Amino acid sequence: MQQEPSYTEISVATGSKRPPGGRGELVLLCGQEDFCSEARSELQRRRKDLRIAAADGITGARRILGEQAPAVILAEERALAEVDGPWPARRQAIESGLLLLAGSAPVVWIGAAEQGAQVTLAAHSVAVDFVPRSALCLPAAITMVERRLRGSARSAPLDTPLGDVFPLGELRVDDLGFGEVLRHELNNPLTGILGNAELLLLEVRRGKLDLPPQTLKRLETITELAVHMREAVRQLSDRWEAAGRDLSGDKNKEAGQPHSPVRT
Amino acid sequence: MAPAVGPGENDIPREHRAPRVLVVEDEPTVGGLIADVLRDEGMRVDVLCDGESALHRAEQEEYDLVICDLKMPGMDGQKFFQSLGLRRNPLQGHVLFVTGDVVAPRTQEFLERHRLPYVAKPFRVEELSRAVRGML
Repeated sequence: MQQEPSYTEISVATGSKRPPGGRGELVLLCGQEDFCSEARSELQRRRKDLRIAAADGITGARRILGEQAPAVILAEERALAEVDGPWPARRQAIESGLLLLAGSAPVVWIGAAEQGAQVTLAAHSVAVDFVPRSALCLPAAITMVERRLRGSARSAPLDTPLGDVFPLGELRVDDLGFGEVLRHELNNPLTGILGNAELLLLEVRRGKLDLPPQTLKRLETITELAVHMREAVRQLSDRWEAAGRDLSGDKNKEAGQPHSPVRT
Repeated sequence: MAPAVGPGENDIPREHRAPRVLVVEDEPTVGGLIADVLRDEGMRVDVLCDGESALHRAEQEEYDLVICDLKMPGMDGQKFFQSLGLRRNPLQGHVLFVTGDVVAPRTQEFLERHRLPYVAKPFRVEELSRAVRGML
């Protein structure tokens, strides 16, 4: 008889069902006790205020997610798959698990490098980060968890009005931190959109990939629009920086790019 | 019968080996993309997601080039670059930065002061390839 996966609440919020996700809540999903202990100690060493709920499989994780809304989930491949057997079946289980978890909170998952490359569904989700298993994977994964935790402090549900996410009314134009955050949050995903579309187009041109003409046209449209957005973000950034410099009295410096020895 | 043994990696003169590149990027999508572009050009690529791991790796392994993001949690691109210098690692002269925040004064000041090569995100695939080829 298959034993039902268990879960242990180390220190979790009690009281109302599904309290709002805070910056200090994490679900740890580990298939092996020694890895789980190591991850737990490292997480608590780095962030003493972090509240961690642990599970050893998707079933346990679902139970936790039914009661809480964590800020981030750290998962290990062995706990995600929960099935033994050939790789295609495991991959399917991992993908289903990741999709389920990512519906509740951003997921950082650790697995073999070749698995990460094949679990494409998750790789294309903005809510999922992959860390290849290695001697240094745990610190790397925890760094990503911290990044996600920082992100949760400034993110909000999708139905939140923009004015509540970025209080534009209170924002001073010389608050350059806003421009910095905005550039980071726009430029990284845009790099992925533009680059992946261009790589697909390259494969078509080299005859490695055959796409129907209409699909090819759509891909070209994505590329063109991404380039358009890139220019728009650059122009807005330049203006934002220039406005900040004007207000701070530093009119001698012009907004724009530094020297560009390789920039084209 | 003993298996035939071909020349090992170390037997091939460095100038004839495929260039080896270390990518340091905390955004997996961007790190994976850079790796795909360079592997497509026949390069050997390792991707790490933070400065500390990259610094450790750069001391253990030989690379021809490092492509490094500037803004990363923990040890960022600037600290990574400075740490290479403190360790007198010759790779310090072979770092290409990628950044999505090229207009920020702090970024500009750092890139200008050291006259460092960089590629601005979002980049076209050809822009990245050309920049990398120019540094190898």
